[in-house]
Amino acid sequence: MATLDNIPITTKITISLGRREFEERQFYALPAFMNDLRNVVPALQTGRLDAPLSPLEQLDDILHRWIIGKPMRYGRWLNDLSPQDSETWELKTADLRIFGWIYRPKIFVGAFIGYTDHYKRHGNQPAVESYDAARNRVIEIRNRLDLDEPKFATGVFDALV
Amino acid sequence: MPSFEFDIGEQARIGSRFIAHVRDEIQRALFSEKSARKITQQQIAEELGTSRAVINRQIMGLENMTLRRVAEILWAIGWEPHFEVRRIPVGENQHPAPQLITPALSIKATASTTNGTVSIVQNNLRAVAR
Repeated sequence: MATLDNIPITTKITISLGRREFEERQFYALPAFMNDLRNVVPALQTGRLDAPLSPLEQLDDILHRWIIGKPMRYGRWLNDLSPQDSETWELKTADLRIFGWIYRPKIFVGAFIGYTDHYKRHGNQPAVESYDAARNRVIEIRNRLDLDEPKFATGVFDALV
Repeated sequence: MPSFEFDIGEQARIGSRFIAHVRDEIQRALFSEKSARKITQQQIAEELGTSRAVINRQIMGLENMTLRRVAEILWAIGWEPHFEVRRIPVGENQHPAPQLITPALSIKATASTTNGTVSIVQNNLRAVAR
């Protein structure tokens, strides 16, 4: 039986938790995500938004928020986590887009990390990658994964998050 | 299955998570107010004499905020900041604070056996026993 926690290519991400903080949700990473985490994000600078946190700090922040169970959205005006088409999901920070899906309620699978500015148009310059292309990459990665069905969870936001 | 502890270093983690915590608290307060009554970022901006775009960026954590602005935004929605500090408990800090050094007591004692008097001097206080 191939489940997320017994296939060899997934890595469970842990972070340093503060006092009175507990693991309320889990985050698993696939190889492309691990490569981005180790080799790409540390070299990134803050993008056009000039956010107060570096991309590496933003990654720590969003993982921290997810893992300790903080709200990932407030009404319609704030979404740190957005469902996309075909049951793919996107975790967002000022400079990062974490593309993946929800495997089971409260379990996120990170497929890869994108740089926010690469998904935005700059004047006449087109985006480096479209959101559709990123979503399709997630679906392709998920389809190739030797994982028993269902490979992803379905349902409404509050039930999955 | 392997696991990986993602660690950006204690100094960066402490600093960035504090900034994020302040942002989270402002968002929580604003969401609470939005749930209770109609309040818009435009109203907050007008209250503070700035633009909605600036307020939006600050609330979303996309712009550094001064301590003054943190308090002003909260004030504009009828909230206030509450801030306190505390010493990190022993063993929970990678770089423990240095121990406070208590000056050693200076004790000087002299004894006389010729006239049966014992004189002890401690921090310039003299006690004499006969």
